[in-house]
Amino acid sequence: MSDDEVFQELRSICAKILSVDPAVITRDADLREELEADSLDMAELAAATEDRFALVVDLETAKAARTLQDVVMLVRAAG
Amino acid sequence: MSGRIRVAVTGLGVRTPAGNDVKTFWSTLLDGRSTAAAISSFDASGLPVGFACQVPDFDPGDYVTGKQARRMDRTTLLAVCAAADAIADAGPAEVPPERRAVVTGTGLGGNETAESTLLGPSGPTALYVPKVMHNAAAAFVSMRHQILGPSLTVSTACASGGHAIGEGLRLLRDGSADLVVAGGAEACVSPTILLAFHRCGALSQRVAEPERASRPFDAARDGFVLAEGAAFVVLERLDDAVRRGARVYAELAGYGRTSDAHHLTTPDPDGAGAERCVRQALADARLSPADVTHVNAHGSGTPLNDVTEARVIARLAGQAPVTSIKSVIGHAIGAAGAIEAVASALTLHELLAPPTINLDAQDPLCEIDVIRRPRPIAPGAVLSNSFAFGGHNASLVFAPNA
Repeated sequence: MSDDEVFQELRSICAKILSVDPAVITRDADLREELEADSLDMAELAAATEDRFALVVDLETAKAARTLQDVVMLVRAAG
Repeated sequence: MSGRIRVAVTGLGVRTPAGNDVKTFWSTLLDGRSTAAAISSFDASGLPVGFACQVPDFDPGDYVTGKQARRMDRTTLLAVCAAADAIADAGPAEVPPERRAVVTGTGLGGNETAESTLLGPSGPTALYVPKVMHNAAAAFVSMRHQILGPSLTVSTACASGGHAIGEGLRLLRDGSADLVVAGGAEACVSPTILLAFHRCGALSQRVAEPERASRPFDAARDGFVLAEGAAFVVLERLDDAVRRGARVYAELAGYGRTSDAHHLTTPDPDGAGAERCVRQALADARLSPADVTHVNAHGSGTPLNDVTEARVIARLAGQAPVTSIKSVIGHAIGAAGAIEAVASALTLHELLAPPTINLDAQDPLCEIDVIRRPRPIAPGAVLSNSFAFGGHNASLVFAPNA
């Protein structure tokens, strides 16, 4: 799966979690500051990412993610 | 007697099969239109009982954002909307947030979330626990309305809603709060719960005529019709309500709660627990059985409940006209007692009791005055009963605002 395909998948997941239009989620948008994600949203994103890409995300690593690009990097690193 | 705190019902809110607002709810009850129908929310064709009373056209869009809605089970959504309506209906009470309380009742909590997750292909999301926990509605109501005092949840199956309102009364009486939002919610019309109630013999089998299936006190009754919904009341001290010029629907004058300690699902056939409950509620209200002018019965339509309850009513308040609104709206489990409390408050406010439908031939074992058409009542005590699986009993007594 290409970098962009991973991003598109994650963007769709994230839009559902945050109940926002996928178009507002850019690679570098700050999930917490700009998209108003709270701890529960971040936990949902981590779990949904694990399920979608069949990987295990270390909780501390997941907490450090600020943008969707950070999550793309996590998925790529695990793959 | 002096110095006793009297409590007023000043706000009502509902989401029920009979309507998503109090006015529609009340007119549907008075018209006696059954709300039972084939289930529309999922494919129930494979189930032995495929009908229920569901909340039509429920749209929480004006109350919660999409993101908030994702975090709520349907039970919580119903509760949040009904509670918000009750608070708006009560008008501005100007009670400090620290002096506000909320008590919610539910029998099965976030059932839709639990069922779809456990039977679904993927595991739980991060929202699973906060969506299924029984206290979710109390949490959201407290956040939405800045309720910083007690926020509690009672779970006593079919009596949850009655107990929640009764415990709310006690919070006011004991000085724990100056304003209480109390009620119940349930969204349990799901494949598993339907089949489970069917398998324990509680549901009506009248699949060819859903609208005639819920027939409390009728000789041909064969079980209850599953329902969903939510109802909330706003309670405050009567003198506060009068001082601020609030509309008082009724006084919530008494509360009884007892246990059968008899059987997991069947009532004590002597009705001893139920009778003690009613007596306790009337005594709490400083009223006597002779003061009862209307009974809003638990009246589930199961063969056993109705005989037991009718005997208790006949022994204590045989003079009073009786109604079971479950004939119209089915049995909403943990919400039922709260929905019936709202109907009881309206009955006193309007001095008009709604009818029991499908009463074609009253069971001769139920020797009480069950009313078939709306009937004017004298101002007096209105008794609302809730009896639950587990032998949990709750009775509320409403009195005219005088």
